[in-house]
Amino acid sequence: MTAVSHRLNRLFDSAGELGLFGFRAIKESFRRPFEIGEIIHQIYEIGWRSGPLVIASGFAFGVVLALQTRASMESFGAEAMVPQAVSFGLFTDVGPLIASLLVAGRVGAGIGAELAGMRVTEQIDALEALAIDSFKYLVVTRVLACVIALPILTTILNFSGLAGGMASDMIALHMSTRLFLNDAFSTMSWSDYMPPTIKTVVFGFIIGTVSCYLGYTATQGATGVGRASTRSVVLSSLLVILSDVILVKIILFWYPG
Amino acid sequence: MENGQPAVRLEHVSKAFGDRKILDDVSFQVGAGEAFCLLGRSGTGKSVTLKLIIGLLKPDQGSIFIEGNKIQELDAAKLSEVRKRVGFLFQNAALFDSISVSDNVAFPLRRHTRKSEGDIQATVREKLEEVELGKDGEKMPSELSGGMRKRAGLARALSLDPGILLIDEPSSGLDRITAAEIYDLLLNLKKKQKVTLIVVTHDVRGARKFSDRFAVLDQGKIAGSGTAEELGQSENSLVRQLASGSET
Repeated sequence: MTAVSHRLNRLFDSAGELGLFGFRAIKESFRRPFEIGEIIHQIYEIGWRSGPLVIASGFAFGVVLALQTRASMESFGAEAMVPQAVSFGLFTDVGPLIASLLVAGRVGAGIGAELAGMRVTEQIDALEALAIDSFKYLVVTRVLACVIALPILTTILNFSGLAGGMASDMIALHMSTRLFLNDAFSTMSWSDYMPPTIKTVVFGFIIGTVSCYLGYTATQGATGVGRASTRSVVLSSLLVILSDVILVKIILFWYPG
Repeated sequence: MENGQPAVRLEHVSKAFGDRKILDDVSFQVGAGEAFCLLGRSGTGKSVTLKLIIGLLKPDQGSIFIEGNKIQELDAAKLSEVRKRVGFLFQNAALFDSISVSDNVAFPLRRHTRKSEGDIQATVREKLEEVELGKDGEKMPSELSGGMRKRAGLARALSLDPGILLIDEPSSGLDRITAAEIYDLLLNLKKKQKVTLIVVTHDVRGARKFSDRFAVLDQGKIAGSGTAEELGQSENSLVRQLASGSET
């Protein structure tokens, strides 16, 4: 019983520390220096370098979504609905979630390991000794880069998924590009695209904050680096999925569509 | 001494990690331009002392002053100004491993000065040549040997021309010849640039080359201090052993 309560206490302590860490990241992002150069560098590292993974995964996912949807729709003669189903599925929820999980896997692990490595080799102390605010330079820049990059990556994944679905329909049904795109966007409205894409700002914040927190506070040498990397992926993915439930509910409340 | 005050002063400083007391009521001061060497066995809090001096750790009790500024009472901006005047060479150099040696040395210059890129490059070359790494600027830290890493770390610590230099184990992991080269560099810094040196080391024989004064940390307290000769006549056997270099 004592062990359970001890574990629960530690869990709540960690959750509290993570919350304060995230709050500090928000607060510090409004204070000078704004580290614009480093933010751009991190957007390149996080966003641009995730591009190939996001495009390839999105395309493959679009193909699979079109294949699966067509198989179901064929049974009641509604193959023409495949473009709408693909675009609606991708843009409203699956696209943002997949993009976020991909980024949590690639970037979360990277940030966790990088900052943990810097912590255990005293590079973070070296930054402080050189009169540089390590939290602003390392944490705020990465969190902001995740927040900025994720909606962009989500949009890229959505459109590459649409391209995958289109390629599938063009091959299987000889559907023209124009007809596919017309059908895909015929029932879509701005509110189907914007709120789900904007919610990835929250996902970006979660991924950035969790992975930076676990890396920045790492201990125990090489073991700590590995642990920070693994935990970054697990915890940020879990929190993204859990927060998606809440955000979908909020979006449906505001846009009952 | 600037305005007659010591470069660094510790007054009754204590520090513990959990239940383990690392420093217990430690006091000492180091004059401007002086080379002060902190000796002691492993785990006696020598590196912690350096980190306390620069404010990377906070003391549980006591006060630390750098050029008269009480470190614990400084706000972030003022602490940053003080840190610009203090160089720190970490035990493993702590070079930023994602950028080249040149960029490591240029890093503080780009952050804290308004020098043009040309002037920064000229300063970087000068600092790297001072530590005999003039031809290795484009190398990544992972390509350097232990001694080269130490020298690159020293070049970075010197990039802003600090008045005070904190050095953690300058000779650890190095052979005697490479360690002697590092000591020569420190002696040169002290003589030519009048830099205040606070050095943590096990190697008292090497440290005698450049140190004016020594202190021995044992069980969280200063067990003895003075010149090497004075320590050699101490009543404390550990102090005598450390001073003679037989305890390493």
